[in-house]
Amino acid sequence: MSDKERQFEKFIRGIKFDDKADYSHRDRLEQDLLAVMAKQTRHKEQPLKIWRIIVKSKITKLSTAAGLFIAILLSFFVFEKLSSPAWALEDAIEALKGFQAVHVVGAFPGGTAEIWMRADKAKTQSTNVVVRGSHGAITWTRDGSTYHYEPSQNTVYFENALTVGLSQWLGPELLEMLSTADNAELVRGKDPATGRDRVTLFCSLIDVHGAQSWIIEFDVASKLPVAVKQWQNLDRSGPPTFDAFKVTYYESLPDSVFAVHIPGQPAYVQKPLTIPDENIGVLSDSRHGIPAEGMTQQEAAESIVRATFQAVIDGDIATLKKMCPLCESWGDEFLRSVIVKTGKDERLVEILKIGQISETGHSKLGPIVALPVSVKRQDGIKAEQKMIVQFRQLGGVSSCVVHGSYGLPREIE
Amino acid sequence: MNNESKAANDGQLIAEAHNDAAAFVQLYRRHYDAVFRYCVHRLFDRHIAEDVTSQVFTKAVESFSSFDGTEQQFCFWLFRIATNAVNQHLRKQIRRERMQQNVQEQVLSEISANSGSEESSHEKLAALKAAMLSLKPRYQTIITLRFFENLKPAEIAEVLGSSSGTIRSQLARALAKLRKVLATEFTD
Repeated sequence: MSDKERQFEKFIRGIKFDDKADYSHRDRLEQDLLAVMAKQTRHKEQPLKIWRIIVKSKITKLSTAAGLFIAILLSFFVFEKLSSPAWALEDAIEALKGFQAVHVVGAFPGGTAEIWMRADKAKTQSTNVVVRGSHGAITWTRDGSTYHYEPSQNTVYFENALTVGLSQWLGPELLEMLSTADNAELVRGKDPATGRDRVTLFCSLIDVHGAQSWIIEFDVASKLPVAVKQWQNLDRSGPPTFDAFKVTYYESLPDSVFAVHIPGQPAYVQKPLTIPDENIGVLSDSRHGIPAEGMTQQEAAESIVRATFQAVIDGDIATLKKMCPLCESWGDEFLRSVIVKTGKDERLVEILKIGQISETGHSKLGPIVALPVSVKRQDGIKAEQKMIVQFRQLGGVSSCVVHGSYGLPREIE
Repeated sequence: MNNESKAANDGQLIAEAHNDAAAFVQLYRRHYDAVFRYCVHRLFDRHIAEDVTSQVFTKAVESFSSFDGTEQQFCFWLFRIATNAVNQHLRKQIRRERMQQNVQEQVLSEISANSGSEESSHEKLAALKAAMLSLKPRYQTIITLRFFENLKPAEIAEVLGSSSGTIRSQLARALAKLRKVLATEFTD
């Protein structure tokens, strides 16, 4: 170092700079960066890391194909506002009312899959789902659990929740519920292959499965959806995650369709509890959730889940959004219809019990836990729903938020 | 942890950060202080420095897929982004002459407010601020990286994409200019 440099160094040593970093800014910026990264991730179609490590690629793709079916059928109803004399949603629903089961055939990256699904007798929600992949993998539901058989590993991965299926079966209730949603666009045209009139619906949303978008084609004559494409991003970029090119509706299906026989004696391994990476940004805002300082995970999870369900019972949309930030991207009217169920028999009226943490896992934001909640509905039916709670450290403070439901609800007693 | 294994881990963290947000957050936390400090020393205003620091890391996230290097190079890469962001801020936000005029007025007012007291850190800071902002942005960058971030000329050369010989001569010129402005301060 030269003399001049030494002199200058000596000079600046005598200056006090206000250059100590403010960690509240650092933490706020960190949340913003996570949101930017989450947005980038949506365009990459990356499967969940832990799941990928355990089961490699094919199973992940098939699991995705199975899981998206919930959304495929939900999205079918999101267009009442686009009804016209020539294309009325009521007609499509009327056409669907007689069907208790569906069969879908489609392609996912790396193979094809067929999905069979059947509702309960009252047609309130799906009871049986089987997804068969072209490479021999099978996903199915039984007794409140979801199983996935991967033949290359002779292993069945399972989770104690119904993560494939429909919580509200096809019909007027679902129509009414979803008719309040917006974010849909309808285009008319002709199928170049058959010359038949087609109506195509474009829509997207963010839910517990992450960002998703769809293109659904309806046959104008039969009023039924005949093809569905689904992406795991909001702008339908890249190849579709699932391309359902054949959809068939049945009045009923025999039990044998849903019987699953696994050859040999596979190992059974529990699937780790995970949440989509792209939801991390939404869960990273310190304005959401509740403090968890000085509480055990069980105490904090119970506390926030109770507050969330109480908000649903009270119809308190603001509190619901604060506890469960994924709800923020949904409109108030849609939330009242889908979650609060204002004026419906299925409306929740009482929290009966909040159980012990049943599953644990880890997201990029911190630990996640799942715990069951027993509730009573207006019509007297009691049901159990598992909820996922995300713990995080923001600005050096421990807090938690509700990510959303873990699987479908199931009736109890 | 010895240096070799730390270096190996650092390389691993950079590799992981390309596919793992948590790893990138770890990198961010390691380098936030240095970037913020650099911005404060260039801009003399912690609030503006926070804004520019936000721009730096947002740009880093957006461009990270094109970065391929060690963690030390990542640090230099951040300084390069920060240098561009600070210079852009100085160009855009305040016209240079106007800024200098304001600074000079501020210096006079600060010195006047502290008159009679023994030479204070405040006065030195105000004088340095005026002197630094009278330099070309490149000289400001070199002075800041050399004396506040303690980078060697060869490292500054890597940040600015220049040779260490050029940096050494530019550093000498920058100090000579500062010396004129701060004659009574740092030649004593």
